[in-house]
Amino acid sequence: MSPPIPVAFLQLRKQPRRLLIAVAGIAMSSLGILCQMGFEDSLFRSATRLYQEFDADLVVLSPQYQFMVLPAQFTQRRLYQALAVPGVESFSALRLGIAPFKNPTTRINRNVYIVGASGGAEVFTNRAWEAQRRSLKAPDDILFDARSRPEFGDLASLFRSGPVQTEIADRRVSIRGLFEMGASFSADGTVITTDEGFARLFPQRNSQLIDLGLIHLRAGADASRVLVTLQASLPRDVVVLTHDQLNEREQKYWRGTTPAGFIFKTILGICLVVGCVSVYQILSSDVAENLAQYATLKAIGYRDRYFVSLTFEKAWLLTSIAYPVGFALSALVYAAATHLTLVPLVMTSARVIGVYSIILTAAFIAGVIAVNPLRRSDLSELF
Amino acid sequence: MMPTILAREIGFSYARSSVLRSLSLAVAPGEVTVVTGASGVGKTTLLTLCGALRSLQDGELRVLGRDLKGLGIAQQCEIRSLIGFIFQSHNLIDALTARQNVMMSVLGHTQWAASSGHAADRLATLGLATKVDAFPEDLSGGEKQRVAVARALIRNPRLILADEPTASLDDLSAGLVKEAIATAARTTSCAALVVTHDPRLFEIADRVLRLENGNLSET
Repeated sequence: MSPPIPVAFLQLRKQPRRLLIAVAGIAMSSLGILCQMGFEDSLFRSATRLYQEFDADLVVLSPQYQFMVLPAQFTQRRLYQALAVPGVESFSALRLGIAPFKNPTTRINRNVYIVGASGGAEVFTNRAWEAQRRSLKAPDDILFDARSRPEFGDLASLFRSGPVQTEIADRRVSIRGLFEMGASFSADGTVITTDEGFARLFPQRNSQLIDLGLIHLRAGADASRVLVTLQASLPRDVVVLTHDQLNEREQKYWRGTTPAGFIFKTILGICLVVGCVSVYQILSSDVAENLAQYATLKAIGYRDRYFVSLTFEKAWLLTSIAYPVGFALSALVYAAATHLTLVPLVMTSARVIGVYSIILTAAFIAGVIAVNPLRRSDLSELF
Repeated sequence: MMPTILAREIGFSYARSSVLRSLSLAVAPGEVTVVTGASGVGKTTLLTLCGALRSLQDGELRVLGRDLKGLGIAQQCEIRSLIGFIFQSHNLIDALTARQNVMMSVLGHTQWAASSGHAADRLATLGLATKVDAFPEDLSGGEKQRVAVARALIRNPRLILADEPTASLDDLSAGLVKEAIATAARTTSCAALVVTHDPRLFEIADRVLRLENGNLSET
């Protein structure tokens, strides 16, 4: 046991310049990891935001479906066939597409994501969205996402002043209502219309082909059993998934098939290495410069575990000084990115604690490596 | 009474040469033994063996009643915690004051409360009363060496192992170091094995031995 002297703190304080560099390195590492996780989470969350709002127990889609921007069509007859399966109560057919939306102020076109929803069954769990969807009557009626990118125009303000008319795919449309969802990495803006409205915007599309079928089950029906029955009874040109499976599949696409997941993991790795190197650099320099001093302490009875704990204490101090800096900077980046991209980046407490744990663990690993030369030191060389 | 150091026919060889050959030595409690000899004859090797800093090859070596042959790391640490080492190089930690460097030598909860005062007292007896809270960078070479001596003596060791403790010190500093070692031996029955070329240390020696051809002889 050593005397109650804050050796780690005193040694760090003795080298303010080196301390500053290490703190900056760890802060940058924390900033990078927090931002990377924020962007990644935002990407995957925003990518499935629309799907999360769908009111469905099961979904039917084509085996060729890739993700929401690259769906594949199948015949609507499959949904009627599904009604014959015990437990299935109703369905909604969705058509998905992208078309140019004309900014009513600047008259500049920008692609918008369009959802054409059919009929009487529920489409959205969000009551407000659903109520507005049901209010769409005429084929040129649309709902517009008020949190779409500003390049579409300040439609919220325009809408408050009176009816707004513009064009999608060179066809006149009337904005009948606004809903709030937000832009995502796959869609700058979203429009909801009826199946008739969708057919009007995409006249080349076969009106019997749809992109997604939302299946609603009767109360008390066993979803997994109905899914198996449905899959067995429907032809192989469709697959049946639960709502959660669809969301997972959508996220999996972004994580695995696109380079996004790999890029995020690479950035995470680089940030961690930067943090490790920053801590290792200061701790290994400290051990190298104090090797004779530490060996002297070993000679008078100090065990290796004292130096390991001393190094860990320094790693903890460095991390605890640097992490709040990295956190504060990342909070600013989150706010700025949310403002600029309109994709909400949310800092969760689990992420704050998790990243601190990752950084601290990396610092401890760097500490273990840094203290190795002391373990191997030959005490007989002291004399 | 059991000698503090009891070496019987110990031998030690490096890859190319044998430095200690059937060397025998007994140092009694309270005795100051000075070992001198030409450079490279094995004086430091003898110190490192007695300090459990190196493993014994041949013979029997008992220090503070413990046979050093085949000791594990934990037992080596235990024995070393009873020894006051004074190295040629002071090896003080730059970030700590003289007092804190001395306190670092105190191992054990029971002594911590008083260790700050004891450290200041030790430093004062070595002429460093005004340098208690100075950092090593503000001390001269002689002052640093005296802090190192205070660090070795604060825990009342039962054995002092010193390697050229007064080398390159002025007479004042050398006198204070010499006096501190002699006082520890006199008042606490602490044995001291001092390796030196400095004749100023012969004055406090009960015995001066010469190491030559791997063995010790009285001068």
